[in-house]
Amino acid sequence: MTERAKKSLEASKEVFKLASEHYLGAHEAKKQDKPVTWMTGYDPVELLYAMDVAVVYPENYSALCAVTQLAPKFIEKCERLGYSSNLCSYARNTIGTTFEEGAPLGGLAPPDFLVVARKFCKTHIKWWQVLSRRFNCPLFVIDSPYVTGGVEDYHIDHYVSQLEDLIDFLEEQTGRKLDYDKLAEVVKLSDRASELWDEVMAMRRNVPCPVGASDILSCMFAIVTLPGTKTAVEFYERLRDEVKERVKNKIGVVPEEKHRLLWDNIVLWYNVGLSNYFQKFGAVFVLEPYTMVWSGRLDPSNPLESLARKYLFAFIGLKNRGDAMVELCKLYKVDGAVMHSNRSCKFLSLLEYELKDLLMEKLGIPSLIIEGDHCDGRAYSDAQIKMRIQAFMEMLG
Amino acid sequence: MPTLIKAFEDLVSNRHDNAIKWKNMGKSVFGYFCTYVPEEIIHAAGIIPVRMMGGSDDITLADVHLPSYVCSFARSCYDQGLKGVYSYLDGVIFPCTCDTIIALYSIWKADIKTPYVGFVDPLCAKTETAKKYFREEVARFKESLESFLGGEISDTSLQKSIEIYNANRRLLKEVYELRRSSHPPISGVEALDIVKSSMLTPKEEHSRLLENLLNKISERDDPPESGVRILVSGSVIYDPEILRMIENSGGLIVTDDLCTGTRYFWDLVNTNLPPLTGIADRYYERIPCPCNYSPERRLEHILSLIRDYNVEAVVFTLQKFCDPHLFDYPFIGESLKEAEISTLLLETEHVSSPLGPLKTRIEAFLETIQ
Repeated sequence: MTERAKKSLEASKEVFKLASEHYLGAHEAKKQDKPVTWMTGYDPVELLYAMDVAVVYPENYSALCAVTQLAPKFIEKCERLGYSSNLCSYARNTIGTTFEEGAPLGGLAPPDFLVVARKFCKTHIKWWQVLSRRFNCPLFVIDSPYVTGGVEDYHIDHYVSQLEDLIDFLEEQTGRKLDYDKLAEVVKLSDRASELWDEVMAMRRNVPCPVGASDILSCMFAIVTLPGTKTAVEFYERLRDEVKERVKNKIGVVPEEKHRLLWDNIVLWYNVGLSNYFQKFGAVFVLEPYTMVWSGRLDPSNPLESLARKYLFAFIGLKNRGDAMVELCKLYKVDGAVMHSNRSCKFLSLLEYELKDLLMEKLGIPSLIIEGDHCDGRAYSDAQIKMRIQAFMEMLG
Repeated sequence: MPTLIKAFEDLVSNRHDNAIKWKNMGKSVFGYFCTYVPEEIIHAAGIIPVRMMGGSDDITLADVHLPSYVCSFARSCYDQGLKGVYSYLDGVIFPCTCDTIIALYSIWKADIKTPYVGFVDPLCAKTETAKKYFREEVARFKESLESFLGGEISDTSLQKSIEIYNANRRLLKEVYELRRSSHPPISGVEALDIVKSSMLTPKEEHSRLLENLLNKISERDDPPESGVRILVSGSVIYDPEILRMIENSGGLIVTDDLCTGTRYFWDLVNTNLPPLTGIADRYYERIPCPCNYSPERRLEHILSLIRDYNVEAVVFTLQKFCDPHLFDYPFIGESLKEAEISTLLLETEHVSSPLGPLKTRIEAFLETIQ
């Protein structure tokens, strides 16, 4: 029923190794008494790396559990503990892995303390509260203001004050002082990774599109989990070179590119091969707004303020998301959108019906909304979804 | 006596007619979602704040823009908005609480043309930095109202509103105190109407009704029947049917941990602080709802209510798809079990069917306790 995604790039083949090294590395750090923490994919991790803390990512790790088809066991364990099956499946999976044997890569190395930002969803906060009780360890919450319009100075000031609080917290937890030169260096590397990531994304505007969603979704691993490391920069240099070569030689994802699609929301990780089905219709995903939020640029001479700006990136509210989506569709020459109404992510999903109307109204672009879940594939019906995709693709012509 | 209690029920049932009546008298009416909206400021601006409650009719229009995995409370409110039921509102205010309400802010703004659509951002962190920011956020909310109204909200009027709100909270607490008795004079269904009507009526008028009730309640000759003493825990209860099922099956609800209950009125504004600071701090330090904070403090609140009200069992009425409550439930449920309190979890919808399977479960549960 589920299948592996067809990939175009050599770089994508490196990702599983990168991920394994990262998660096993945290176990190794633990053995050497180095502090370990758990964060979400949009928290100011640069500060933690500057303080030599090992950071693992329950969201990304849950995606890995789903890709390897192991998530249901942990999800069910979590539900047996009394958590509703309607809660985010990333959260259910991670909670389950802390109670059940057999989690991939030895599970996530247990945290010494936890850090989470209230950025996109409130689920993060609730989930990290559960983890804090589970490991009986302190939790630091960053209140990232909900910016539904533009980012104002008072948002920045508040975020910076909290980063200062976070530095105090980290110094207390680790017994070490933050080295600001090291922070500047990490920030510089993170900025470079974002620059390269942006460059790769921009090349997808080419016709034919040199790289589709399956490769990007693998390759995003480093921009999410490793910003501020040399590993990420070197990996993205290889990725950029490979994509550049494809653009130069006009190599596309499909032999004859008929449709350029936008994918909205997180993917169905237990069936990333769904994108193969679109290729049968000559369609390629040239754009996913969700993979583009990590491209925030940083200034090493002003690290805290630039981190605040990066992580306050306005991706909240219909106006910010809608305006961005319309502009991106024009830039990437999109002619159809597929939106995953993801039961596990109300934050990303609830505005999709409005976004669908907006794309039609502003650009005449039709959208298909498919209901699913990012990590819990137990209710997934391949045949049903493919039937809807087929009808949509036939309509696109 | 029935008429005394019925006055509160009527305020709930006639909420839209009443609001339209106030409008015709030249008043402004603002709707608000959730108990984290600093109502005192709206009141001080001369506006009547009313809690968004949704409706009892079938949800027929909301599905166009909200997926099925959104709680039926939010879907019902939006549905009523699309049907024009809330067209009398001059403004509607969304707090930054759960992912659904945050999304509904954008959706409402796009689809329902309420003149003022506001957003207030309560916080999750418990630090001095967060507290300071929340004070500024409340001040920004006041400024935003002022620029919408074209007039200033003075400290004097804020002080007056604080007094009026605190007085109403004290009276509600007095009514709740009566329920500590071994023969409570009011039922849980009635208490729900009393609290909900406070959210839907100018506080001055509501306080007069509460005073009247408190004066005359000792004469009540038809008090509710005794039963297993229950605390109900959950979010918004719009439809009293589920509480009625409990009270018709041998239970008597004596207190609660609800948005439409103690969490609405338990905490007062400190009048020794400058008014705006006092208001901000009240909302920052109040008994928390699960959207923002860890459940430990709420558990303490529940445990102290269990002691003070001689509670024998706890019934969780958790709305389907209500993530914050569903994340807290295993911890609170486990903690109560450790304290040897029987609990029952009911997953509820905005409107319950009186003949639903819930009734059987409630009866079976109460039988084990009696």
